[in-house]
Amino acid sequence: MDEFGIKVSQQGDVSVLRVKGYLDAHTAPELEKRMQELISQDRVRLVMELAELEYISSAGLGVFMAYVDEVRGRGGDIKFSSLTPRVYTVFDLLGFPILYEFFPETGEAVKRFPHADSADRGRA
Amino acid sequence: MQDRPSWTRAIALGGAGFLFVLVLLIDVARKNVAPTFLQSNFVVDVLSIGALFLLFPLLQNVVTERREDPLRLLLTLVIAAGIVFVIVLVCVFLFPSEQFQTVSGWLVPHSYNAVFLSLIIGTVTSVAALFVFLSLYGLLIGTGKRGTRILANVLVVLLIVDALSRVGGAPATGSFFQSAFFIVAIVITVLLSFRLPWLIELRRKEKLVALGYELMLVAFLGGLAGLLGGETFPARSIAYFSAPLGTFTYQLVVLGCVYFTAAFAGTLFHLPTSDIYERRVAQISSLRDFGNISTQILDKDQLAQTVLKLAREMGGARGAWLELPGAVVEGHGQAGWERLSENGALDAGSGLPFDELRAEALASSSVTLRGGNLRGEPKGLRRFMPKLAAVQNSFLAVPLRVHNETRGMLYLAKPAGESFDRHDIATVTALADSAAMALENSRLLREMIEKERLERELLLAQSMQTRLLPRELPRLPGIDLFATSIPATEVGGDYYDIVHNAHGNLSIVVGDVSGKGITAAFYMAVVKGVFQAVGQNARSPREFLVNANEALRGSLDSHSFVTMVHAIINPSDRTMSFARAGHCPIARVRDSRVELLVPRGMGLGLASDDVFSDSLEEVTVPCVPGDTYVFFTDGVTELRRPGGEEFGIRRMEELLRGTSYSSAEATASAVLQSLRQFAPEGGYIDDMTVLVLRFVGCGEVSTAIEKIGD
Repeated sequence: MDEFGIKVSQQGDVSVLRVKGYLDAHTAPELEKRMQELISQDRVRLVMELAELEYISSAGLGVFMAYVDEVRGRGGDIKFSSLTPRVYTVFDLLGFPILYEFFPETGEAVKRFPHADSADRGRA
Repeated sequence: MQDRPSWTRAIALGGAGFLFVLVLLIDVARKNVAPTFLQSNFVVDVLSIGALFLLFPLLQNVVTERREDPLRLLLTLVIAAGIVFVIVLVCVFLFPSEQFQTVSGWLVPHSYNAVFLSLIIGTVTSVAALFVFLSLYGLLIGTGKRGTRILANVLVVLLIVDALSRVGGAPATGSFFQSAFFIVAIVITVLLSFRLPWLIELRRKEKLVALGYELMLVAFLGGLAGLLGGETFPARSIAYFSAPLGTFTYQLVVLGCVYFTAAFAGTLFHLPTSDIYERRVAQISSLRDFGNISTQILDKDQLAQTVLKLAREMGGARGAWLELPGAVVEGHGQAGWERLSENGALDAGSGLPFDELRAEALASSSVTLRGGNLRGEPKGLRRFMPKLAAVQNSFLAVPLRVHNETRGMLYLAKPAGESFDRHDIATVTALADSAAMALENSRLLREMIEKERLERELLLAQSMQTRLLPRELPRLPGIDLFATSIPATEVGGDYYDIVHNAHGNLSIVVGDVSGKGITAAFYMAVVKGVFQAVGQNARSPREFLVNANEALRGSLDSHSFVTMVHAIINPSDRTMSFARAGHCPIARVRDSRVELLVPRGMGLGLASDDVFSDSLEEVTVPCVPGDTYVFFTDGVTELRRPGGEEFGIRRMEELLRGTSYSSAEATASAVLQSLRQFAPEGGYIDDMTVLVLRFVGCGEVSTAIEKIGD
């Protein structure tokens, strides 16, 4: 069983959260904390890269639900990328693909944020 | 003496008496002939030493009994020395020294009276000398260090060798001081007299008493030394009685006098420090007492009060404050801490430099501040000089630390002019350490009690929750139904139910609330309420689930959702309709083929009614005899064994395909058995629910449902 971990990196103004291991009731608060931190810094363009996520429980799914309204309200979004088929099934059964965008590659997910690049250049 | 059988005592006393009588008989016999007649001088010396040797254990006992109490031993010594002194003094006045005459170095008694008296005086003085000897030895050995023991033992050897060397010799009373041994013995005694291990532990009052005893001992032993050292009747008596014992007696009297003279001076010297010593002893015993008491105090405030009182007493301070984690009070201590004073009330201690002291103390182990004089104080404090100049008190601040983690602060204050010395700091720091430990213990204990309380409540909640599920499912012709739910170790959120609705249909639900614990259990109760209210009137699973989504969206928090499968068996057209709201697939077993039915549908509470409704798909199937539908929750497929392997949907499929089961119960049992084999250790982390519905004969479905309605 791999250790749970989150790595946050910036791709332009999009924050990519690489989540690995087991996301359950015990580890969900850690993800929640990281998301709160990002949102408080006004980083609301979030991509969840879940290639190394082995398991997600309902508590883990709840974290995404809890922040999506706020993130979207501030002009951002939560997108998912690189899910293994098994983990995707869990999202799929629950109907997440109706509410969220899923991508096979992180880069694709990052690109799909409107005007991400131009906004970044403008600021620089 | 109590533990020594009385007959051994009797034998010792009798033996000694017998030997003394022998000595007397020999002395009488040789009175009129030479003292060396038939080597009787040797015989008499050996016999008298032997007699003393027999008395040795008895005297040893007297000393041993009193060794723990030096004052009592001193008193016994004073009494013994006093008695002997009086006896010797009386004899000096009553009898002239001419009762013995010196004939070529040997003493010759003038009368039988003198022979008899010499025996009595000799016996009494040598027994007393032996007692002084044992007492001194006892005092020195009692609590002495290794060096003291070695010196004391050297002294013993010297005295014994000196005495033995005189066996059979002429009683040369005037030659004692010429003995090199004796000079060495006196030197050793002087050395030993600097060491008063028994004195240090005495309290001030006891030391005053000891001074009195020592003074009397010096007087009695000094007097005896004077009387026995001169040409007096008793001096000659003991010399005549036994040359070695006479020497031994005289030497002991002199050495005792030297020792107690030095002891008197030593006691005087120790008298001023005894207050400090007593305070240290009191501090140490307070600290030990606190160690004992603290484990029995659970209440934080009570513990804090005990610490404050002890700290103030131990540090000799006027005021004491304690900062502990607690309710945040503006202006009272560090953020998140509250400051308590000894009266128990929150105390701002206004104007006192708590913040500066804390900052400095947290950087090191403790900090002191001498009122009025800031020169030489830590730099950090000097920075605050303008503020501190107004503060005239002396302060001591010590952090309360457990495992290098600061759990509070202890402050002590003394009036200006008094300061905290090294020992104050050491003892208060020690108190702070054990106080921190005690506070930590009481916190852990309270946590444990709270945890046990929660566990009891959780158990209660678990049993309450079990009652929310139907006790028994109806056994009906046409429909074979079986359902079971295995609760996880925690309370969970699985729910299943079957009701007969208002339209004459059978309404079946299997649901799973997200998350675990009390929240999930509450939501499960809410789901039951929704099902019983909405499920009664819903004409289709779609209608029910859309209504349920609306109802639950209002009551679920943003993290939570509910997945559900709802089915309605319609007896009039012999069909079953069902819809899936984000739930696990439904397994249909037909002729040993397993099909996973996954109609589209989102979890309840995830999306608005429109989105939810648009995504929801309803499936209607005919009631085919022999068809088995298995509804379950994800606790089943996500069951894990220690290695991390999941039970999984494939295993479930194979299990259902493998055998043709005779009944719904047999199917459910096979599933449960397989789950138990998969993870035999129990302690499931999620609820597992399995509901099996088997159509037996479609013609009977209608009547069956009417029966439920009855």
